[in-house]
Amino acid sequence: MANKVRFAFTEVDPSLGALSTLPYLPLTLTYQSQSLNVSGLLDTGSSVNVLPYEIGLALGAVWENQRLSLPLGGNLARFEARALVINATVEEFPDVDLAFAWTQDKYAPLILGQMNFFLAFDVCFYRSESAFEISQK
Amino acid sequence: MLTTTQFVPMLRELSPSDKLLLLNFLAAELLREYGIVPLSIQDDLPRQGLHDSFEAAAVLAQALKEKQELTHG
Repeated sequence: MANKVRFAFTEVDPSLGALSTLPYLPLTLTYQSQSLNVSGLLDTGSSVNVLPYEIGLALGAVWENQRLSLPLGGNLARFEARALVINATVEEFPDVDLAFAWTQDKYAPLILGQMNFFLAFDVCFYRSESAFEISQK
Repeated sequence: MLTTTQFVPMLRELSPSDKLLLLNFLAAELLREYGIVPLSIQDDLPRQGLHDSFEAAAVLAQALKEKQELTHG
């Protein structure tokens, strides 16, 4: 089993180069029998994980079946969000359950935040090297 | 259902205040349909961002607990 894995930051805008790099983590989400490879933005400033509407649908989740509604702040406040627990696999680490605020905003980014990504993984950022390391709790 | 050519003459018969109310009604309908918060009440919304959505975090914790109870009994 991997102890610590290092990732490079992702360049978002080639015209801006290193100025536009962000810590995106590749991971596999699995809901029931459906799996999807995605990238999530590591956001220590977000108190929750956020799942865009379309990704939830692509995983086969049914909006009407999720009964826990939750209030999001900021730009996502105007959209309804419901709790959705999804199994996630990062590299060779054992899979974990991540609880997402599944928002109806189709344009929301996939955010990995304090509840509960950063409770499941320890992350060390090396911004000057445009890299981060991740290990499982 | 009325066509545009049928109801435009009726709209012209409305008083200025009723025309304004109708405009207001249509704007509110469009804002609601597209999930847009009216500028007039944006200042009244709580200044909460994703950084302090703690109530949402508590709901997620509950969802995780329920999932674990289902899985492990």
